[in-house]
Amino acid sequence: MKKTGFRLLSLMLALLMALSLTSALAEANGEIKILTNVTGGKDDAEMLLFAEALGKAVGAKVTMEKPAANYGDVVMQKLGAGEVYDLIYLNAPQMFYLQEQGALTDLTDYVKASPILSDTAVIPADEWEQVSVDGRIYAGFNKTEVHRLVNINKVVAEKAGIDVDAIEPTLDGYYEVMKKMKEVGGEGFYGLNAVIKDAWDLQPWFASAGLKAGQVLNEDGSISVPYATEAAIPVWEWLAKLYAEGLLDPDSLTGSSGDMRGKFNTGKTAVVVDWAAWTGLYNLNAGEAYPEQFEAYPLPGTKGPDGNYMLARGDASIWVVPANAANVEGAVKVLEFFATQEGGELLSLGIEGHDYTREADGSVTFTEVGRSHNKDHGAPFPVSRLYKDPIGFPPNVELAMSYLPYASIQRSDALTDMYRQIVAKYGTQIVNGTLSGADGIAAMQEELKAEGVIK
Amino acid sequence: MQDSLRAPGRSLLRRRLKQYRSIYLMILPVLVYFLIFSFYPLILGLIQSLQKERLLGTPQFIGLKNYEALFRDRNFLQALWNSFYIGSTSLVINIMMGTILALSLNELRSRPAKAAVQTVTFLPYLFSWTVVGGVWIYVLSHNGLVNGMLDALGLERVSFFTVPAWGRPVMLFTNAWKQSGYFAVLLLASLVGIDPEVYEAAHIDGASRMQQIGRISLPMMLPTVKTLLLLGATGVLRNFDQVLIMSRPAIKDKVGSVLLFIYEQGILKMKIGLATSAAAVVLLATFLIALAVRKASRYEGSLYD
Repeated sequence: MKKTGFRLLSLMLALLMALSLTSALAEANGEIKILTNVTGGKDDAEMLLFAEALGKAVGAKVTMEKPAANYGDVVMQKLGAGEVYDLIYLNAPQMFYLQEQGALTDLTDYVKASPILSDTAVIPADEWEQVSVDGRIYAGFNKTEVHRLVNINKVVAEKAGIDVDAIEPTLDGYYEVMKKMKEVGGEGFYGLNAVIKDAWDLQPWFASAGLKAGQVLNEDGSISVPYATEAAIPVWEWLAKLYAEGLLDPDSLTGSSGDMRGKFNTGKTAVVVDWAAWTGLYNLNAGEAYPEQFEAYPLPGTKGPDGNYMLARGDASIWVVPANAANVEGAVKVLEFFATQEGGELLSLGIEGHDYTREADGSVTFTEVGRSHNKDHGAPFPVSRLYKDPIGFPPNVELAMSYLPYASIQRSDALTDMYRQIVAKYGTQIVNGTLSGADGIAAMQEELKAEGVIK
Repeated sequence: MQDSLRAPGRSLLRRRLKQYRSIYLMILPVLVYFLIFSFYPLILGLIQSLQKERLLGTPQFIGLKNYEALFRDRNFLQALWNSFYIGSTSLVINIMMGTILALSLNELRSRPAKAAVQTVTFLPYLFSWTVVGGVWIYVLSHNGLVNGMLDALGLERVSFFTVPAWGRPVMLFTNAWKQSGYFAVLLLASLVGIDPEVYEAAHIDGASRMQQIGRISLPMMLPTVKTLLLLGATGVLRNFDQVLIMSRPAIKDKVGSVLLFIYEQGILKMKIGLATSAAAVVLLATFLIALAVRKASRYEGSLYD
């Protein structure tokens, strides 16, 4: 009896010690507080699971806050009130506003010391330029930003007798395609829909003149805006021609990306320019209509004078470490984890056991919940270039991603929003005929210079 | 000696406080609320307008540099002018439309018809600009109702949101559509308060209905119009929701408001110093406009001054 009691006590003590050791290990990296917008669970319960999974992976107690709305306001309020976070989700232009105020931690030395983050096979060296100011790094990455490219309604194209793989990669070539597709598309069908009020989806067309989107840093240190040069006039006038002939949906001048996507997905548009991930989403959203009644097919757009395609990648979605962060090392551990295979799976597939199950042979099966989340818990395309997707992509996404080598990063800084507003303002007026191409470009240049966007 | 001279004043104050203490106690919670949620943030904002913003760390006092940058910013000056132009023109249009609507409603003899028209015209006021703006964006779109009608009449379609010349008319019209019903309700209330015997006397004297409206109804509505003018004047520079929902790049130069400027600078670009200095300018401008309107309308004067 005594022996049994002694054995039981020893066992309990051993268990207690094991538990203490586990929890000590689990919180070896302390506590990490994260303010997130896109990344994480889809509801409060799932957010807790996500934070738990992330905490286990990095050996820390992770708490994640996700505001219901007005994320920008919330970030401002929280930082202004002195609340302490270790990681905050932002987009690239916002990073520049905060860096100007000295509100961010310089991560350069942490990145250089990290075997994962400094590995150029994982994150190419030029990617860090997006989050650098004067050669210092101020953020880590949430995902790989993919490119935007042409998506064509393949079903209507074939109805119009067009072989989508044989389209002449010029403005005239696409003009003829849109014209033929409009003839068979039915009432309310347009050749092209765009989001000109935000000036973000025009690169495949300006590629025909060899003009890069956004603000371009030249070798002499000056900054120019190729869309606002004389060389851009033929492209703007091409868009104006499409508008005048009823091939460009007039709502392209005022509508949102949501409007554009709705019309394309319901077969009301021949061609749109959208993210590579959306090629797959269009086809998934079509449900049973895919592929007989609707198929989004990706194309790289027009070729420039040098014979190459030119596509644009999006503004980086990033994580910054505020200057008052309590656990910078923990925050860097999270950034490192996001750049691993396991981290990529958490950010895309979701939480194991909740969004998906892993079979004995390593294959992955989605649960009903996981299927509804469309492989997007913040990073449909994870950070690491070495990431291997265990499930595969939705229809035609692999083909869309094959055009990534033609895409380059669009430069962002504190004046990016001003650039977009000015280009959209005069671009709209050129396209609807209020201004001629030459007058519109002259006005664009004048205002871009006055606002300091062109230097 | 001096104490004894001051003593009567102090004791009068004490007597008054004691006499009306229950009233002061009732006012106290409201006063505290305004002190905490209105005046304290106002003072903080004014202080921030004199600082170089730092979301984290101690801000740096820079005097009037934010104000200098503000008045050198073409976009702020344009936004201030847009707000004043659209705000004041809207106010005048809304009062005029409200008056016409109130007078017309007053002439309706059928009660059900009166109630129906009043409800229909008042309803848009209850909806937020998110709903109203969304509806009008659709109605005025290139393939919307208005352009469909223009097409049917053989006229050229109009791009209301992409041609700068249409920016302000669209804002003024949609604002009048939304707000006139509210003004009409207030003006109708003043109309029904007029003693019917005055109209009877005028009728006996041979005045026509139009003369009665011109010589009795309109002058009797004047105090209400003055009140609406003064209250409306304090809101001339405060158009935000409508512009945020309905503005587009091509027309923004004509309709972009000063509150939209403050939102973009303060919230989107995190330039708190610039935003709070713009807010201070709006506060001062609103005060001056209200003062000018009060003086011009002879607010405290009587009808016969």
